[in-house]
Amino acid sequence: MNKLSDSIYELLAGYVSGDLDPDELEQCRQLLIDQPELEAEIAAIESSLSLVINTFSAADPSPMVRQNLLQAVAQEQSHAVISMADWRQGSRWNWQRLANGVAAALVLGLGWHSFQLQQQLASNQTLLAAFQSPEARLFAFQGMMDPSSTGRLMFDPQMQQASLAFYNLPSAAENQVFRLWAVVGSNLVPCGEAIPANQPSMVVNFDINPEEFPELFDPNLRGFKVTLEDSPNVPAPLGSVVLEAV
Amino acid sequence: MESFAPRHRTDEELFNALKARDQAALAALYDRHSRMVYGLGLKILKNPQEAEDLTQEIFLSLWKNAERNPDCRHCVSYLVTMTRSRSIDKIRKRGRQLKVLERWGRSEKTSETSALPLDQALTGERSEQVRQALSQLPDPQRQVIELAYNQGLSQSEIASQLNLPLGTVKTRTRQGLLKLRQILTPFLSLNVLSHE
Repeated sequence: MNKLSDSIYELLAGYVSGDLDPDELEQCRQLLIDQPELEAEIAAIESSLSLVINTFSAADPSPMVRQNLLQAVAQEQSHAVISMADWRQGSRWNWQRLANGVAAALVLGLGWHSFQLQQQLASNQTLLAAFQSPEARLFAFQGMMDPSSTGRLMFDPQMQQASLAFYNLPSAAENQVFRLWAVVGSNLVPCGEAIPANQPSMVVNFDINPEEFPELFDPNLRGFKVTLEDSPNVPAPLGSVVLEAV
Repeated sequence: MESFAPRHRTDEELFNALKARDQAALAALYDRHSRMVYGLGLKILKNPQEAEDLTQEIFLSLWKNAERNPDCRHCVSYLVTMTRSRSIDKIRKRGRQLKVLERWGRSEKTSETSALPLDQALTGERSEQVRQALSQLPDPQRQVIELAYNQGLSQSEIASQLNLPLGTVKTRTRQGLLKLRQILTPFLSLNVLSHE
């Protein structure tokens, strides 16, 4: 610590803490170019700062954050990702924005934990890690119109988290929508909001609670169906059953 | 082969792999630094949901900017700076009434660390080292470090709260960090998180 002047050390510390003014920042960057050995000093200050902040921190983010991050990165090259921080600022059921912004997906409610579109089956192991409670349930969908259509809905009433994925859904007319129905006892109950049927695959992770998704907490829940409808507001399924998990 | 496992690589090595679009490197950096980002974000935002969103945003930003922003190579500095600036941006975007609601009106939902016993022991040991290191700082330096990283205050807020010039706050913060670096370096050399 005594080979360099104090001012250089303070410059490096200011760089790590992010409080350099523009002139100082330029000076520091030039210093690191001229004296690359100073990178080791930066790394040492960073390590101690990281240790200090970690000591002050009392909690980790939920496992869903890591899962969502890696899913988003996996899709980064070819697919758009909507930031849920942005999405929350919009309407709960703002399908038009969603359809215009990226593509269709199934939006199920407030309190979204994350929202991402992807077209590959996410690692079940990764997902299962987020659904560890004994109450977690998994429903596997089978294609009823096209055998290649598949999907799954995993949710954990205890953790109040859910993950829904559909793959290879059949093509549909421009104004048609998909609707998810919960099979509760002998009734079909609408679950979530309808969506434009212009996206063959989708994955959505979201938060659930008994007020917004009572059907997911109903002891008589037996399964789910997805129908292709001509109208988003049908009170009961009228169109063809696309997927079924019963 | 063990030394090539991501968790045993330095931040610099992981960052170089990140630039080559190695997702495992991002996962390793996340595992190493997400607690820091989330913890600091939570201190500032006072809202677990927003802090989690922020954590994801920050690491996505690291991934996307790795190639074009040379400052990203100093991962901790980049992550801390981004966390602070984006948290402040988010707070500014809130309406005043909403801010009060979000800071005080919502229940805090946090994830308890489910670490293995060895990890817990190491964490406890590290915490003790840090506490001892902080106790060795002169009071003015410890005060600004704790206000910045434990209370989540910006340097302007610290200056205002302590009625000090901003330059004084910066100087004390920098000197405090250098002192911590001196005290903690022997411990860091024994730590997985060290930069050899």
